[in-house]
Amino acid sequence: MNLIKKILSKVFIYTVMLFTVTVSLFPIIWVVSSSFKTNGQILTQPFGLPTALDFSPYVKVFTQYNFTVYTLNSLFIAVVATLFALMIYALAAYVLAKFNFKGKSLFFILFTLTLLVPGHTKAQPIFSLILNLNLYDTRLALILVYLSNGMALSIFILKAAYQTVPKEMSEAALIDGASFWQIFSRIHVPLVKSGLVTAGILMFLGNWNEYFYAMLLTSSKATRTLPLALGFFTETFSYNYTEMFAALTIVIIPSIIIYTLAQEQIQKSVASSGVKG
Amino acid sequence: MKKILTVALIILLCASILIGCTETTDNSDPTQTKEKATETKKEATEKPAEPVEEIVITIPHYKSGQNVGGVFFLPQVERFNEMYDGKYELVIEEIPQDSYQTKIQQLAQQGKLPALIEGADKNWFEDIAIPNDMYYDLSTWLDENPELKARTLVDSLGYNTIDGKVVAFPLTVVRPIGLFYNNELFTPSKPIGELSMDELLAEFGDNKFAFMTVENAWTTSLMLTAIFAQQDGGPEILKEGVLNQKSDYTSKPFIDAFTIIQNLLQNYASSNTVGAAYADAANSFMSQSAAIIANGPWMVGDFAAESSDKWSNGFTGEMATGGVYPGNIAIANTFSYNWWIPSGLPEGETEAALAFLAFMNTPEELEAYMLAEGGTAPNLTPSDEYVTALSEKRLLSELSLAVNSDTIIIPMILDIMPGSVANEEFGKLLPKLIDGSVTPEEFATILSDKAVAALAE
Amino acid sequence: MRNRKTKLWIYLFLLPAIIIFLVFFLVPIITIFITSFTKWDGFNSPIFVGFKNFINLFGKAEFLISLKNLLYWSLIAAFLHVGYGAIVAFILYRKPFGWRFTRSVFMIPNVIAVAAWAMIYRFFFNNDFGFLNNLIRIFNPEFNIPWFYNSPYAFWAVTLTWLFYSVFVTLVILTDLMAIPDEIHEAARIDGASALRITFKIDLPMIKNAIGTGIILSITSRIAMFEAIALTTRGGPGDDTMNIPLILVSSITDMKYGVANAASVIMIILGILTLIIVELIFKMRKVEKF
Repeated sequence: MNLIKKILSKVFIYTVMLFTVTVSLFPIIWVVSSSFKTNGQILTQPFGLPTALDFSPYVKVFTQYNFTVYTLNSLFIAVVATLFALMIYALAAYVLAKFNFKGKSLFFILFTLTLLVPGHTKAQPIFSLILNLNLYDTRLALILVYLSNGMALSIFILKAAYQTVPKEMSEAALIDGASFWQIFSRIHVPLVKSGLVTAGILMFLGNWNEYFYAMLLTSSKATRTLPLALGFFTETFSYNYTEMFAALTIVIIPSIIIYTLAQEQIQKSVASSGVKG
Repeated sequence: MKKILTVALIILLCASILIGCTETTDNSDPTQTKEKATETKKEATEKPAEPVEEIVITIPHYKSGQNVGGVFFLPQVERFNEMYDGKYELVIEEIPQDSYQTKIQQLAQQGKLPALIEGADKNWFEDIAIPNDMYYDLSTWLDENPELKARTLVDSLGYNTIDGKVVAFPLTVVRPIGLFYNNELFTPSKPIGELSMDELLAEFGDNKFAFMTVENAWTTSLMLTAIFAQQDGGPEILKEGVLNQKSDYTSKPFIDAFTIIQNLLQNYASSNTVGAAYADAANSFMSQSAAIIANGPWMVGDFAAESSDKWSNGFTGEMATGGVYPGNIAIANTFSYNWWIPSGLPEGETEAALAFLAFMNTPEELEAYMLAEGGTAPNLTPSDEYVTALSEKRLLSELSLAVNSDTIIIPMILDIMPGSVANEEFGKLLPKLIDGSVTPEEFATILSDKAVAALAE
Repeated sequence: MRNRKTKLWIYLFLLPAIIIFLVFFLVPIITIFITSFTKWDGFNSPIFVGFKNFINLFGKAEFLISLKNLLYWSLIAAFLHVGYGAIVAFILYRKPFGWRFTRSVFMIPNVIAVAAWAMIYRFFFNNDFGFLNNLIRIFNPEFNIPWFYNSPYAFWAVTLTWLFYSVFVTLVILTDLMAIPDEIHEAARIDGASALRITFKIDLPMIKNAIGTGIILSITSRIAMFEAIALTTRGGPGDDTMNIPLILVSSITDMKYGVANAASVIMIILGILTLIIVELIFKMRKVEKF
């Protein structure tokens, strides 16, 4: 009886995991494999594997676009904006989660509101702000705008994370004579490390993939980001499905590589933080 | 100790954000583009150390990078820069075609328009740009250059003249839009222009049209226009509607045209029609999946040997033959706004922009343009070189021969609809017309309702 | 410790976030609310028209369809999307073989730009050479459905572009699960509670904040869902897959900023309602007093 139950639960667990992996990976594998087929093969043999590894579509796409610059731009802008945003929202979420004070609900509601303000309606005032700051067509403009993007999301996640820290811990520290800052930095920050990492990844990805403001606030090749480059692809390569798939692959792969690299860091930081205790 | 450090850090953080924002007051120089321009100029002039100040204008444009329009436009800009070396320089910044109008409208709201802009949404231009005097009046300049003015089309000049002011540079070249057919898949008994639609379908057999439904359903809308123009009263509605947009599409010529196009879409359309964007339609034609594609003369570039990487399944450019629509119909709209210059530019930039407009419309440049992208310049006496060069271009000569004095030239049906109906609603509703979930009458009613809403105050 | 100094610290901690709010959100929010009652082309001065923009919106068929779609999408998001994310979180929490791999891979669809993802799905659902139709054609050679362009399939095709990608929910829940002290589980196990019982009686109540956050995040993303639709069906066929942001953007294209901002106001109100309802249901406000 117990054995059947165990087997059933294992079957369930691995079915769900297999399904998750399939829906997440399969479309991408399909795109990558299609990029090595000819136009005709794509149209007539959707299941066939590519017959040869022909990199010429990649060479073509690469020689026409300066990917290194776009990738570096995206990386720089997303990382800087994420780090600053994380610092700012870690502070705000802490007091929102742990203290009662005048205006607390108001602040929380206002910060949450930011999640609901549609990006397109903000465009006009933000564009005018950036122009007045003389930041048009600079990376700093995007960093400033992206700083504001993850506000509600990260305050949400971090607030929830701080709330899981038992109040007894702060009380004990308080009795020991710890200061406000020490209770925050020595007790809470280490305990919410995984929350910080989660919020950080989410904000980074949002910044990494942002198109609309990148289109609006930059104009030269020197400041162009990867998502904007994709905007150029769609009109350039759409005649030829092979090149289209190759271009898509080129846009997708750096994201996956960067994520995989960061992923290892994340595993380490989560493991070393000793969150579980 | 550590506490003080943290307080300092937080203050610094706030300060850096604040400084970023209060900078507004001391740094709000309205001539930011100029600054940028002078900056670039310094770099440019550093090398030769010339005493004369070169005026550099930087404009965003989609005819750049790998965009099809860039094939002719970018070298043209190069020729301009060469000709005015040391005096003017035009720098093009790439922007995706889809985002061009959004960006221009946003820049306009901030009063930071670039020195040259191509085209404008009709409603935006008429409701915002013109009433707010955003344009530079070209009338004086055109009067000072009578030769140039004589090259412009009378209709277009009239349309672009508002209260005696010329708001945008009128057209000098008209490019009647017809169709291309695959002469190996399909051999009409007479030139297609001399056939009727029914005769064409009778000869068409199992062949297909390269139709599409995405965006403004361009190739489909062109064919619909040609069909509509053959209905009683159709051409009149089109000619009137291009000046005053229509919001009622429920009259007989519309319903009849919708019924015919429904039949074509259901029985004579390439298999990828539903959900096809322009590139997909072009792909159908250039892979022999479709025998006819409605499109303008600029498509000849795709049939030249340099574009052979777009061909597949045995297609070659030799297989394409150009023509007009059944019933001897071609499509062209001379009532539109094209290149314009914003008001309030520094004098030098205005001069540079004007110089470029003049340059684009010199006889040599116009002929080069027509040899590359097709069209005719009615007010220009062709040079001998041009005539010879044209005769060597099979497709372009076919197209110019197909358009004769009897050809009925009418504006496109989308030009009589409000922008959102033409660019969004029409294409979005087509799949329902195709799968039969709306009848042509319902199709007309739904579109009319959308148009009424779009035009309402 | 409830003295002035603590108070000072509290506001000092809030200050950077408040500044960002003031600069990037306050002006837009005020503009949106005021101009939603005006006729405004975005350039000339707005003219006050009362509730006309809102009345117009509610008289539009595409707006009512958007509201209906949003209701369905919100229900699907709250139950299926968050439910799936929660199941994956509980499975990963048990650390079965390959859990790290699954967690990493699950993230990948969210690493990719929405534009790229939408394009992949447009190819995937293509009626001619798309993967899905060709798979079905093995069993039924005549099969030919343009998924994104045929009702009622279009609604479900759009839904499928996000339905299973609930890694955010999984991460938020997993974070909270990992924060549950081991002693609690230990104690329950000693009392003879089964794994399933521990999950339902101990873990679920302890992660209700995370589930609430997940639901709020996923419903508000449905309210704001734009690219996934704009790059696939564009709200079609007809108006079958319309959503409020598409109306907003097309109003901006038509230079009807008043109507666009009225749509924004409605989106903000719907978001606040979601927030209030979810917080009430999950009693998320119960913060431990310090």
